[in-house]
Amino acid sequence: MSEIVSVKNLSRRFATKRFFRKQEVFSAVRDVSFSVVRGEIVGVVGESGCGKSTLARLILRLLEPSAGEIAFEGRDLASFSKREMRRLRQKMQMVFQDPYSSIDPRFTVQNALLEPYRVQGLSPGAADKRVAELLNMVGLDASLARRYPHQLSGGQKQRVGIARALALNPSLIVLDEPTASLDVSVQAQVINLLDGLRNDLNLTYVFISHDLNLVRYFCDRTIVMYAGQIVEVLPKGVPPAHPYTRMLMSSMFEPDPSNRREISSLTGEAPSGYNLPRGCSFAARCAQATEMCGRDDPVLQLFDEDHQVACHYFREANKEFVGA
Amino acid sequence: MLLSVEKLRIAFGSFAPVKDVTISVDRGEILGLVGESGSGKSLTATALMGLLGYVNGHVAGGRILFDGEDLTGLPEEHMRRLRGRRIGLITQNPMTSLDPMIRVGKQIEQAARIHMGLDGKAAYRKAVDLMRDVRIPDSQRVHTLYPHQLSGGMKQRIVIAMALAGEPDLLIADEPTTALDATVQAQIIRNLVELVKIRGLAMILITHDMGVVAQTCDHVAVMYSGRIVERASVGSMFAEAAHPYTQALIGCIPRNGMRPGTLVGIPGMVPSTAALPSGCSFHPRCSKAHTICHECVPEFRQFGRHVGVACHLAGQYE
Repeated sequence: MSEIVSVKNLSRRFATKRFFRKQEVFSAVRDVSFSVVRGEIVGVVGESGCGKSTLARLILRLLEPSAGEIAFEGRDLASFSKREMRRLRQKMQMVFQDPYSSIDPRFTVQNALLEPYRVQGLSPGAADKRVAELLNMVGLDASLARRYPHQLSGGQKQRVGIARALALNPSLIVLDEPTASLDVSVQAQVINLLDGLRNDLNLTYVFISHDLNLVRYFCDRTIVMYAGQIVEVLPKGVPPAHPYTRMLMSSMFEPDPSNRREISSLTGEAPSGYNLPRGCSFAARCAQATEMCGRDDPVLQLFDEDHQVACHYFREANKEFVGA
Repeated sequence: MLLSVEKLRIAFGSFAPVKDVTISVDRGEILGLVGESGSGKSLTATALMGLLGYVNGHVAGGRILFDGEDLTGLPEEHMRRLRGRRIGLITQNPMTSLDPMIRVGKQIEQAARIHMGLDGKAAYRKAVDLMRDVRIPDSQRVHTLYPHQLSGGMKQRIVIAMALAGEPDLLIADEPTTALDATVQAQIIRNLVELVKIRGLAMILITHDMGVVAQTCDHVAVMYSGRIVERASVGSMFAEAAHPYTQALIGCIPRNGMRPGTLVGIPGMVPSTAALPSGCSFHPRCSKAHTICHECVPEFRQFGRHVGVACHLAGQYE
């Protein structure tokens, strides 16, 4: 198994430039390192503002990193020229959160699906046939090709978004909250569709979501982000060790009334990237925090096989935690 | 019963997107009103608040009995005395339900002044107390802030405090945490449940999230394209859902420890209310549909004390 993407010490800061005002710096992603193996589904989970969407855009080099490296199939992305980068994007595609704004309202479905070919200067072969093929792949009727986005439902639009990402036979697809704007019954359809496509087309996914249960269900590995950093990398089925992941897990509402749980020790909100605290950024909300947590930033360490945690006290973490 | 809605029908001209809605809720209880987009759940809330007139709709049939009084056809003057004072509303989006130009503390004071006749120091004290009730830390400082200085979770707490300012008997919460992050959602839902239990309020919690329902509600009503398809106590609904739609809705939520490939979606999509399928509107998506389902709208039938279902096949499970 080879690595398709590897990210090393990646950071991204945004500076506000306002006239007559002090420049402020927002740290969106801080010192993030991980790799994605071919054929894998890696989930990135976290709350709003944790840097997960910035990370998605950095992986595809839609944003330039402030520091750090990204390698795609072993080659450093920074070494690619603009033109080479465009070629490379055939292999890496993105599906956006909001299907309402990611498809041009003046384009028919057919036009939207052929756009990647125009951008790349490639021929789709027999255009009608290719469009029908793509629609078929995502479970839509070929007759939808002549429709405009406003004539489609949210679920259908998201399927068009997925079909467009598939058009150029990519090997990596970054999915940024692809089901967040859909009804639950449609969400399950889209997840099953993505699962089938991965098997058929040998795809690799980076799946970004705020829904921990969904990510844990769908992904082989889960990266948990907090305030721009990775706090835990969890293999499938392994109980979390980081206090934040545990908090996130106990905030999930399980659909089982016979197992009602007291939601405990939930306080505060995540710090802003403008004003990050010293030491561990979760310390202010953490029940186990000590003086050391307010002083030293914990680094990601190996806890168990494939399981990494960034917490000073991870060794004391109770392995039996199941989210109860 | 504090509130009982009987065969409510909501119409816009001759078009009726909500039909035959029967629900009830008593003090100290939480009723979950569940459904996907376009199922008519928010429209039902609008009708309960007597606000249909503002969206050019009207109640075309049925009754809304609140504390023994029928709210349908009540003059606006009279309705205004109930709204906010006895029936509180928490809306979905805290970003748009607060006035960006007024300090949040003042907005709560305004509600206290209008509904409770408080002014000056009394209104200020009430606002600070309410902020404490909804667990806003450092409430005296937050009192002086503007909405844009607060996070989404804090803003939603302010909206809840405003809804509580009139000391209502019934609280209608329309997707109160949809716009919020998981950990904040958990804090706010927990706070709402606490308020209901401590103050003995009745609450209708409108949501699409079966997880939230399972963890908080006493009774559940499931809506699908404008009708109630199932009504049951939360225990019996999750143990043994009677309507195929409810079963499917519970089946499509990923839960902790679920095996890969076991998530089942519902085929097709929610039909547009303007072009409903014949018969049972769920039949094109239903795996158990028979010929009768294509032809006749199923009647809502009661099975025992706790379960009511609108499905032709319902009796056959027992």
